Amino acid sequence: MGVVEGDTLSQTPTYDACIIGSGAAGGVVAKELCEGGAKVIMLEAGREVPPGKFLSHKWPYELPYRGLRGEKQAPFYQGGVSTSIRYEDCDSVSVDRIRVLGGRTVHWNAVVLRYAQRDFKGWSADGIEEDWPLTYDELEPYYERIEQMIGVCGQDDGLEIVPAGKHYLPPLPWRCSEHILHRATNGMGIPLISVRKAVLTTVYDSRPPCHYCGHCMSGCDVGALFNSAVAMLPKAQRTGNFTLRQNALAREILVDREGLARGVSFVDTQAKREQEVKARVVVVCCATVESARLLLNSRSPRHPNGLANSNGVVGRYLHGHLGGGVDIFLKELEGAPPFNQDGATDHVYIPRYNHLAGEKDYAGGWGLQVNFSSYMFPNHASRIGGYGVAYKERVRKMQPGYLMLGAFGKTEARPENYVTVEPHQVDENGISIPVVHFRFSENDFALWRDKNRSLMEICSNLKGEVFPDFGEAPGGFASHEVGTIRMGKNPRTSVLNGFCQAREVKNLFVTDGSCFTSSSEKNPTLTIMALSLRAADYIKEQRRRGEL
Amino acid sequence: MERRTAIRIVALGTLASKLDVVAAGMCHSTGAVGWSAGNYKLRFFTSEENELLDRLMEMIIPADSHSPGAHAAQVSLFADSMLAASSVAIQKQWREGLIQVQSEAAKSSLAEALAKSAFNEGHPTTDLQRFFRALKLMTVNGYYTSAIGIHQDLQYQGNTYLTAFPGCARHQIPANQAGEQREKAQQPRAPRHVSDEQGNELNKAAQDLKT
Repeated sequence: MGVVEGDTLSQTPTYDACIIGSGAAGGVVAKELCEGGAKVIMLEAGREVPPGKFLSHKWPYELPYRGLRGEKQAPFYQGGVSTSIRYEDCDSVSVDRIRVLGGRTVHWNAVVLRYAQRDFKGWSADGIEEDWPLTYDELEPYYERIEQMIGVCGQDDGLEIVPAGKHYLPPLPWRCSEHILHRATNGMGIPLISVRKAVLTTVYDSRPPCHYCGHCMSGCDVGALFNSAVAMLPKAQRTGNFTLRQNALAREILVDREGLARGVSFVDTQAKREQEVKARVVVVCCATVESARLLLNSRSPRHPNGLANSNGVVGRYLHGHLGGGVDIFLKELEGAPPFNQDGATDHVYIPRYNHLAGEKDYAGGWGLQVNFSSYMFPNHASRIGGYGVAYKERVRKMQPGYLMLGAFGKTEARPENYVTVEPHQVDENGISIPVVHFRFSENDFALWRDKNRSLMEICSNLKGEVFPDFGEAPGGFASHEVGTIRMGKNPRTSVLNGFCQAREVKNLFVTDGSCFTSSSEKNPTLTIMALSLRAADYIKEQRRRGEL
Repeated sequence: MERRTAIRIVALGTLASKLDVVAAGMCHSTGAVGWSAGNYKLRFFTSEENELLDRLMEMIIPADSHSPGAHAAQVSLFADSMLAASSVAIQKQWREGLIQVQSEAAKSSLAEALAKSAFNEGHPTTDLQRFFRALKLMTVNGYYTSAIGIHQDLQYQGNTYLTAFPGCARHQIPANQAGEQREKAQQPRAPRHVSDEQGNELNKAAQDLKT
């Protein structure tokens, strides 16, 4: 992508800002600060995998284990990051700690939904959690700007639960199964809309449109899917103000005698060398678990419990989405001639609808993402009985009717669920590993049960074979974990103010998903990027005033 | 070990959830090279075991008038490569499973032994029945990720570069059985490249489907 390794640090003694992490959050902040004239250094623990080297289009039979052991995504999880973590006293959840230039935007489904007014008001609207320290109206201009910056396809459907922007690229055409689903949900009073995705449906920002291969989750080889390394960092670089250090794993944020951030110590994971970088502002964008880990590992006499953690909140309130969906094989499409259904994975979306039917005995809801699974493999083949010629023919005839509904449900932000660090267990670079503790709440279980019931009700309005994938209890987090360094109005239960600024360390900002006060059923990335943009504006303004 | 396995399955999301049993033997594939049956040398099964496995897999997904089966797709060799990189416990399950099938076959025939193992497939209660589940899943995974399974049997049309996505066209939804038969005879394909005019027609057809 053309971003080069940085100069020797001694030649540039103090940067205006050090950004840790190059994903959705870090990319936005880097571009904005650099374009605002700040000298920025970015530390990325992983290294670049150029899109031309993605394995997205490889056929299964070209891969060692036919792609069944995560071979396509393996290059994005560098340096043993997948194994240097522990889960203790945990329900069935997993966090996604990627390590590559571009972070999670390198391979993602790219569904980008704005939070609604009520999603910022957990306490006021639903009587749980807390209200955010900012409202939708305050964030709305940043949503608008970020959507234009990254390119989002979709349209305004006039639904309050999914506020729309003004500048969408043309929506994705619907598949036959999606028209059939729409027919069913329409009859039930459940809205179904064109999905909003950071996928280009036309040439935009000098990037080509989608070629509809369906491989978003393995990475987009042409950059039609928004990828921070392709669409954001080069803009930072073009300013001449940007320095990138790859293979630079942050160990600790360093502080001065007043307890303010003065820089970052990191490990050059290739040279196996400790280094330091000095900066006037530190922006943490490592994603929910790694950011909390970094702050907790940054202990000093002024911050004995970890940086900005005198109230013990850093690491707490971990939460994310619960999942569980259904596969349906529609009778109407059974036996249809094979046709290419890959597209851009999801093309439609069913926004939260449980609130339309009146009060529930739980808070929150779920949205349904549709058809984000591959069409190459017959997912029903191992789930229908029998074998032999008749079985083989049945598999073949059912395949064109594949319809998949994947639910993402809200979970409750609770202090009992947390990430900590294990001082006696370190990764290969000698840094304490994170330990995850998480249990679903009664509210989560109630929502999960109602979600399962509702999905089966939708299926009862479709003719076909239904394969629920609910499990016996909720599971999470679908790579959507948030909340460990939360913003809030109450200094006793939050770390950051509404501008992602640490109250105890005014030149420390955290703009990734860890800053969420609570989460809704919507995918978090667009809100992460809008908050990052707002924080970048705030940093620029504070710098102009000489406050930072 | 079980908990970690469960966590990994969640981490890989949808794909892994569809391939749950395979995930039980997951490991990192660092250093592995592309799969090829051309000069393949067995790494786990003996040649006798492989021969038995090959016959069983062909019975599960046989050649028919539409496409070749598991034997032609060399699914047993795929199984060997997967098992060679699996845990000792899973390897043991497979070795013992094949012995059990063979022992059953000695009493009657291989076809009857397979039928016995497949009994109660939805809720297996014996080791033999549990082995059938693993055997069928491996056959499914191997066959439908092979060139034969993907291209000849399912006639999958994707994994390509389109200039436009045509969306749903009316001809892709058979209105009824008669419609289905008519479409089969015509064997239409989704166009790879769609002009604006064609796209408009397709969109109009799709609109007609909306209610």
